[in-house]
Amino acid sequence: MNYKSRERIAFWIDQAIMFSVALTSIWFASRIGYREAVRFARYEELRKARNQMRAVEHELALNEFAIRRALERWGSEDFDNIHFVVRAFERAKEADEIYLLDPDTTSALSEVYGDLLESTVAGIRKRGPSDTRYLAQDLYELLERIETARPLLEKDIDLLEREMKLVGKEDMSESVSPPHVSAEESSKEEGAAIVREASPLWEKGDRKPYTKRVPEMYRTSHSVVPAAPGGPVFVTWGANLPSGRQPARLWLLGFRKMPWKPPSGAEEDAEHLAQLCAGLARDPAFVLVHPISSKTGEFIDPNRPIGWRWLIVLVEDDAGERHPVREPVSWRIGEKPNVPQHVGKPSEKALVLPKGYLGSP
Amino acid sequence: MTDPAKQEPEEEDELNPVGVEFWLGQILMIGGVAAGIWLSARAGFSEAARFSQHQDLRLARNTLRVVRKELDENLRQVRLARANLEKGKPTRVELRTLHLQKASGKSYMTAVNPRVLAEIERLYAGPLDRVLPEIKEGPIDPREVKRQLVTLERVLARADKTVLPLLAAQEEELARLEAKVRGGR
Repeated sequence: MNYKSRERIAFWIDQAIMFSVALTSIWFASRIGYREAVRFARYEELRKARNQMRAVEHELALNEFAIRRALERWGSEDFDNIHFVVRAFERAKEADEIYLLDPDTTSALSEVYGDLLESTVAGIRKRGPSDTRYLAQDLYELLERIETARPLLEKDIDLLEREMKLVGKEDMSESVSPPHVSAEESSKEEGAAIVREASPLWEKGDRKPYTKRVPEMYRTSHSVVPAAPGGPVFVTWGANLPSGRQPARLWLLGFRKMPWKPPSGAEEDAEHLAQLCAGLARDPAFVLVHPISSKTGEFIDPNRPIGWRWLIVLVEDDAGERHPVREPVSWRIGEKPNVPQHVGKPSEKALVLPKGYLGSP
Repeated sequence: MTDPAKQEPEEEDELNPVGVEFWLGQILMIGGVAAGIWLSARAGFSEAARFSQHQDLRLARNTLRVVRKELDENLRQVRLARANLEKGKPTRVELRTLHLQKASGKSYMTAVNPRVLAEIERLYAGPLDRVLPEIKEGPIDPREVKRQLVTLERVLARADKTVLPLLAAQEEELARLEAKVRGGR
């Protein structure tokens, strides 16, 4: 084969390779372009979802802060003018990206922004002096819902960002730090209550199954939330016992989480109520018992901060039946009594709870 | 003159245009084209992501500017109402919140700290919301006028102390982020 023929072969090989490279490049470019477009669409979806959720998380933090401030002092300007922000959630719920979240998270968010929020705001705007304690209960319930939703949301945002990192490395975000509400300094009266000696006869409740008559109990009527979460507080109570029965023991059931089944209006079943009476339901923070001889009374909780958010007060009669106290009221300790703001002065006869609640549970 | 064809007959067998260099050239060309396509696709993705982010920031900043303009106009009305109340003149305030409402629905507004819109909203709601209808109805009792004035003063003080600086800081932050994203090219 002479040189001319070899050169001719080289020319045609070159042409064939060029042709196939051109064809393959077009095919490859369109394939990779498509894949990159899909990757970008996915990245955008994740980024938008992440941004929406960060905004909701931020909004939850703002609302949590507003609630904590309001609960620091009932009836204050922070309480009366409490303002909840709902814009980020309103925006997020209309977007398709919300369906990238875990259903538990969307459900927790729906609970936060549900009817309770609306009714609480409406209640605060129209409230009368006697409504404060109910509204404070609503605020505590809302706070609990926000506290449940935030870690779930944070977990989902982390998952979204992890997935984002796999798709593209741009635009990572930082989590929103939890709100900090500084506790108010204690007044002279509060200081005096803190150093009061604990009443000596407090005992831990035995938590045996309760087999007597099960009373009806409701969140609004039969529980109390602390008027000063930083403590100390005092609680006044009055029991209504059947005729001929005498009070024998006072039961205090403290809970960090709402012991009622959500939503708050749901009817409680007898079994759950029996467990509540025995201090067996919903993981109480403490169950304390003290002998009593009067149908009314008050007790001071000198702990700082208060170790409960929800408290059920039961009076056991001489026949061993337990009766929930209707509408126990909690008070911030202060010199100038103020009924709408729940500030009062405990009497000298008031029982004093032990510090640390006898090392409960 | 000598004929080159006659001069190199014995070397012709050794000359091969389809040699190592030829194949190396082909391989480099194919590799180069493949790498070029892959790199351009990657760069395209990054640019698109950056563009999208930049677009969000730009739109958020522009929207915030419109919301700020609306707020300025509302505050101007409140200031005028305060002055008129002090002079005992009839007054009327019509708060406009169209752009605030519209802004809330935009997905790119997630680039804005929710506290900014929340503070503007808080300014319009609450005491101002209660006092404006009363002002519209006109003065009845001088004590009421005093209370209304106090409310307006407080609203304006909060706007000057909290809301406007927060808004300005957010606008600045968005502009800074926008420049950063644009400068990342």
